[in-house]
Amino acid sequence: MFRNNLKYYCLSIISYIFVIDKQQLMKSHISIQPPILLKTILDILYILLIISIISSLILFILSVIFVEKIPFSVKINEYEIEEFSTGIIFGISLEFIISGIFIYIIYILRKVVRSFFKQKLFTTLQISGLKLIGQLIIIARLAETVLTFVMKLILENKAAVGINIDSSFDSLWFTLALGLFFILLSKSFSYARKLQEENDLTV
Amino acid sequence: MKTNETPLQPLKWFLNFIFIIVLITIGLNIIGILFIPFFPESKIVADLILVPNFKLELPIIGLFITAILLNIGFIFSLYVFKKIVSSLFKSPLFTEFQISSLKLLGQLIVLLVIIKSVFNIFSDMIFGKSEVVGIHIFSFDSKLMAICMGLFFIYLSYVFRKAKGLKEENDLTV
Repeated sequence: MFRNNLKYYCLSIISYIFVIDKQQLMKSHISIQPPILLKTILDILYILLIISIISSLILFILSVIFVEKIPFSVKINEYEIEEFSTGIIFGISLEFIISGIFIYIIYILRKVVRSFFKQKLFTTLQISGLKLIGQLIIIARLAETVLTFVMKLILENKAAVGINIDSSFDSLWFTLALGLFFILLSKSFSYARKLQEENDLTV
Repeated sequence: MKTNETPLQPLKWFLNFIFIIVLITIGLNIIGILFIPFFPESKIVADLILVPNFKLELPIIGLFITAILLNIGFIFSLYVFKKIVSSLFKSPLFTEFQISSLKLLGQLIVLLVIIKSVFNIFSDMIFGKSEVVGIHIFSFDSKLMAICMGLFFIYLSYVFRKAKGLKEENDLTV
């Protein structure tokens, strides 16, 4: 239900990106501007995610309790569910936990981006935050893949094994690579921190 | 000059592996899209680009071309990503190449995500799909997340530029 809204958000954002990018180019090279646009989008995403997870949690609990009084079948992540067995309830609650991890990732990312506002780069918060983001992305994505496989097994009695690649940035392989990249980034940040400390010492 | 020695060497191999797999499958994907006009009723091929039936009409052909372009753009951005990672391993950190390619990658991600969502709107319009209301539990498939990633990369290029300045100062004083 939120997907349609997301599309319009994307459309409205398109004009902003290029304007702000030009503004940043005109500034001097060394001093960097705080990432206002990034912070705004992260805030929007965070609020949307929290609203959507709370509302879907309420809907899920209601439909589990009043399963016999619902005239329509419930649709959860592409699966149409007519009856709630314990396996299905367990799987869906695991899925909720994974999206909880996802929200936590966004929360850390917000914290890291906000720490850029203080004009202090390469702090320990940023280094450890980036590392944590990378690890969480990899764990959550792998858990999600396993869960999707098991859910398909339970719901459709189908075992699907194969390599599925979407040509977009939410494909499994791209997110795994992204997680690894964040870990690598934290390494290079800690290297830069060492440089900065040496620099401060010599001056 | 110090090179960046990390115990993450397997990571690089893993990334190369991912790149090859993605290249192969997207190549197959593009071939599949090209084959659709010849097998208009084949279901497997149609599932690839989420298009139920093919007719030789102008908007549909336009959609096909955009789908192919999106795939190529995705491969290109993955290639840039791979280049960045291997340069982070090999060469000294914070070079001009890393700065410019991080920025390019961020812009590519933002642009491709926006094009893809416009593409989805149009394909929904043409094929008359409407989304069923139901619970959708969010995770990595959110488009805003991808846009955040793109912006984060762009911002990262500025951070790298700052670090480059720091490093140059450091080298001068020593």
